[in-house]
Amino acid sequence: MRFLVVDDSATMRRILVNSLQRIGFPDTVEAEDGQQALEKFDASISFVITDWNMPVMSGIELARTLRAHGNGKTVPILMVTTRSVREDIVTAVEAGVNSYIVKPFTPQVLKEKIEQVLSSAAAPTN
Amino acid sequence: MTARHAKELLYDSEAALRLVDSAIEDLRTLPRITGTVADPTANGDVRDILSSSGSLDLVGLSQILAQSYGEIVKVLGSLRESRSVLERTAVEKLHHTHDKLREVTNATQVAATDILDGLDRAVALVDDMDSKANDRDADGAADLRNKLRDELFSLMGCMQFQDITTQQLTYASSVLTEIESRLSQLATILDPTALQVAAVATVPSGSSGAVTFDAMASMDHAESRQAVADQIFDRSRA
Repeated sequence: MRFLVVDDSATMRRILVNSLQRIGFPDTVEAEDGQQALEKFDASISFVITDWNMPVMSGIELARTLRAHGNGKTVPILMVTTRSVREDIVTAVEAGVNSYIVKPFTPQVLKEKIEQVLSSAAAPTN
Repeated sequence: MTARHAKELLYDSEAALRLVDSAIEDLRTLPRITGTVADPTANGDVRDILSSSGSLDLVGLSQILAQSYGEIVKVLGSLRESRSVLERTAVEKLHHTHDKLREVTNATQVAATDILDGLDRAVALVDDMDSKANDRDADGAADLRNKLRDELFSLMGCMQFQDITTQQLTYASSVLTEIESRLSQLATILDPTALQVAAVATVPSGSSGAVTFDAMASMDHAESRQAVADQIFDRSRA
C-alpha cells in the first residue's frame, strides 16, 4: 500500500513518513504542496495524507481536485493540519476528506484514523 | 471589517486633503491678490485691485476659504476615525500576536523538556540493557529494546513543535508587516513627500512560493480540538 504524504514542512513529512513506517506502511511518496502531489499522484497511490496550509496549492484544493478526477475520486484522503476551527473542518468534509487529524498528533491517533478509513473504504464515500 | 474600513478612511482622508491642496493651489496662482491682501495699504484699495484683477473678488476668496475649511473639518473627522479604527485593530492584533509569541516560548520549553525527559528514559533503558547483558533472558532483552525503540520514536513526535511554532512566528511577522504598511500609508497621506519605507520581505529565504500559515496554529488543547473534528466527521458519516 503506497501513501502520498503532502506537507510543505520537511519536518512534518519526515515525522509522518517515520510514523507510517512504524505502524506498518513503509511505502511512501512525498510532495511539498498540492500541485506537486497532483504531479506525483497515479494509480499506484492508495492513500493520501495532506496538510492544509501549503503554498502553490493548498490541501483543500488538492482534495477537491482529486475528487473531481479519475482515481482521485475514491482514494482515501486524510487531512493532518493545525486548523481546528469548526468551519474549516466542515469545509474539509464537504471537499471529500475522509478523516481529519489536528496537529500535534500522536502515532496512535494516526494509526487509528488510517485503520478507520481503510475499514470503511469498502463503503461508498459521498 | 476594520482593516477595510481603515483603508477606506485613509483613502477618503487622502482625497479630501488633495481637494484642500487644490483649493490652496488656486489661491497661490493669483499673485496679485495674495500680494495685495498681504499688504493692502501699500497697494491702495483692496476691493479695487481685486475687481480689476478680473479673476477673483472677495466673495470668491471667502468661498474658497469656506470650502477649504469644510474639507479640512472633514479630513480631521476622518483622521480621528482612522486613528480610532487603527488603534482598535492594531491593539487587537498585537494582543493576539503577543499570545502567539508567548505560545512559541512555551511550546519550545515543553518540547525541550519532553525531549530531555525522553533521552533520560532512553539512557536509563540502555543502562538496564547493559546490566542485563549477561542474562540469558531473551524475552526480557527484547522487551527492553522495544521500550527503547518506543522512547526514541516518541522523541520524533515532539518535533512537531517546529512546524507549529514556525506558523506562529510567520503569523507574528505578517502582523508586524501589516502594521508597518499601514503606518507607512498614514505617513504618506500626512506628508506625500515622506520617504517611503521599503516593505520588509515576508518570504523567508529559501522559500519558493508565498508563505502560508494558520493564524490559529497552536500546540495547546490538541485533544479537545481533535475531539471536535471527530464529532463533525462522525456526524457526516451518520
